[in-house]
Amino acid sequence: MTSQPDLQSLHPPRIATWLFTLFTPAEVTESIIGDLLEEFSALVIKSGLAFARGWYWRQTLRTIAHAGGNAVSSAPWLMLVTTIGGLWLIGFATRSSAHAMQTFLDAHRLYESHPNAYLFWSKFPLEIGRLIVCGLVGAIVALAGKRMEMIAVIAISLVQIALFLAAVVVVIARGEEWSHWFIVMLRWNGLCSVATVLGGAIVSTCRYRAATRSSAA
Amino acid sequence: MFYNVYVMFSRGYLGEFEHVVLLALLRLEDRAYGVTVRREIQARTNREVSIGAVYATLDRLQAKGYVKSFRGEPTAERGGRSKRFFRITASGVTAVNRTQQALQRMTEGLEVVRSYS
Repeated sequence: MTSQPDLQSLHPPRIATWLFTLFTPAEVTESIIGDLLEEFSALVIKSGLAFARGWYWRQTLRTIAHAGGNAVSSAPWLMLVTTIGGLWLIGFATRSSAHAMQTFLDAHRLYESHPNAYLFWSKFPLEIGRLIVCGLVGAIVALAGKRMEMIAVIAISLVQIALFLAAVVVVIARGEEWSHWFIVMLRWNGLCSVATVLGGAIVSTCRYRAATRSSAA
Repeated sequence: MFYNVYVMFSRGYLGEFEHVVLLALLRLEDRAYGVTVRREIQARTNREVSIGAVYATLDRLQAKGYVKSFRGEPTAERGGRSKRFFRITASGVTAVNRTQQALQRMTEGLEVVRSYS
């Protein structure tokens, strides 16, 4: 006697479906997910749930890889401009906010009256501010790079990580003490890369929801 | 080389996968949507194709005017989502013929092609 698959568990991996909504153009996402669901259901009956889920994940990863290759080959200049522009914007906004904060702290001579507060305000809020800037830049880049928003923001985060690693190599080559600096900066650079991708993911999700609403109306 | 690429695009030749997708649409007639196109290509070329690649190509072909699409009715097996059907246009058929003829001219008289077929 063969056991019937539990109907409640016959849904494809949710994370894979979410990734599809991020990496496929909003106008076609619903059709693609519908197609995948149809094939997934057929595969569950034919080959079992585990096989069907593996197939679904393979489709997801191949689609993401294809979206990346397609973005680079079909619009290389747009990719280059959004990546360089995004990195410049992060650098500019971070420097400007650091300068503004320093000017404010110096004007109020906080380092004389409250040295601990001065140390706190001259460091921690700036790092938080940088994270917010990275998230906002991710969102702006996603808005500019329509139909390739996630590829553009991932490109920015990868370049950010690459620049950080290059800086680490330079510090080591100079023979300076680097381990403490590396741990602190790794945390903030990693978080900044995540914030950039998150900003793009929010825009992409909003686009998908708007497209779903308009097609349902 | 760049000149050749320019001439190929300006005369409406198809890329390899574009060609395969349009042939699948011709075979499927009014049953062509993501699932059937993907299965048709997989069955006839023995090549695993991602649904994302199929849609990206169909979108590109639609932008070139070789394909048109329309929505079907939502169905329960698709979680209430509708199918997006595709149909080849007259200029799509012309592009397929042009590419087929170019390939035929290129392979004409080649011994190596005969020995593989």
